[in-house]
Amino acid sequence: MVFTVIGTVDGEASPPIGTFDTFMAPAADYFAMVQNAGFEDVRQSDVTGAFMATAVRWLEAAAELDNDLRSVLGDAVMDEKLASRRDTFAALEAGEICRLLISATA
Amino acid sequence: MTDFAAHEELIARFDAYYESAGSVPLRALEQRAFGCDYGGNSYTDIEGARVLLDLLGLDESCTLLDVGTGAGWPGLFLAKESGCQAILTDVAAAGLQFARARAIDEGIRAEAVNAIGTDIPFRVSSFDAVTHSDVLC
Repeated sequence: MVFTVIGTVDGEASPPIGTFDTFMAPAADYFAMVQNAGFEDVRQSDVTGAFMATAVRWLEAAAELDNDLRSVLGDAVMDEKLASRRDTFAALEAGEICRLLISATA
Repeated sequence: MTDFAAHEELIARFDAYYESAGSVPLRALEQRAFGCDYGGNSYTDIEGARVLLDLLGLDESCTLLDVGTGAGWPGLFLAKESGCQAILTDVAAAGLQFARARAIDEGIRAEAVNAIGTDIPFRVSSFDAVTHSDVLC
């Protein structure tokens, strides 16, 4: 199993941020969760740098393609998508969230 | 709002986005943001997907489960690159329709199953590998 997860940095759950509509859990919880579920050889790496780069590219591309995107998504969907991506980016810039890559074997 | 109503609203929001998954503007956005256009809606880009490919150790004998695949990312890419059989699951049907159509068009061994990650309708030990991108929170 290999997955990525976004979580809070400070060890506390947070109110909904951006794309995520539920409380965001602390990133540190996931390693233990996978171990406690019985997986072996659990490994974790921080991929927050790549997360930030992707977030920036997405917002820049969305700005350039705004008119075309709105023509297919409509204003409501596009506005919601932009707001969620901007909220996520703001939390990322503030150092409140990080992204982890976790792998394990069953 | 009840949990059920909130869940249904979330699905509707995803469907509204994924209904345009194959559109020219969305594919252009994905190419610029992720380096590919497999219907990505997470933060996994093409390099991240290559890391997943390496770590999962897939080949044509494997069956992969991609939970929360949206419109097929990264499951379609992983299946195409490795030759594995991919089962793509998500709560939103609109994205799955796009994923399945693309799999057929490109000869990718992938099937789409409309399911929530907490209730995957397969027997235990059905899969050799599992992946999900930014689904847990």
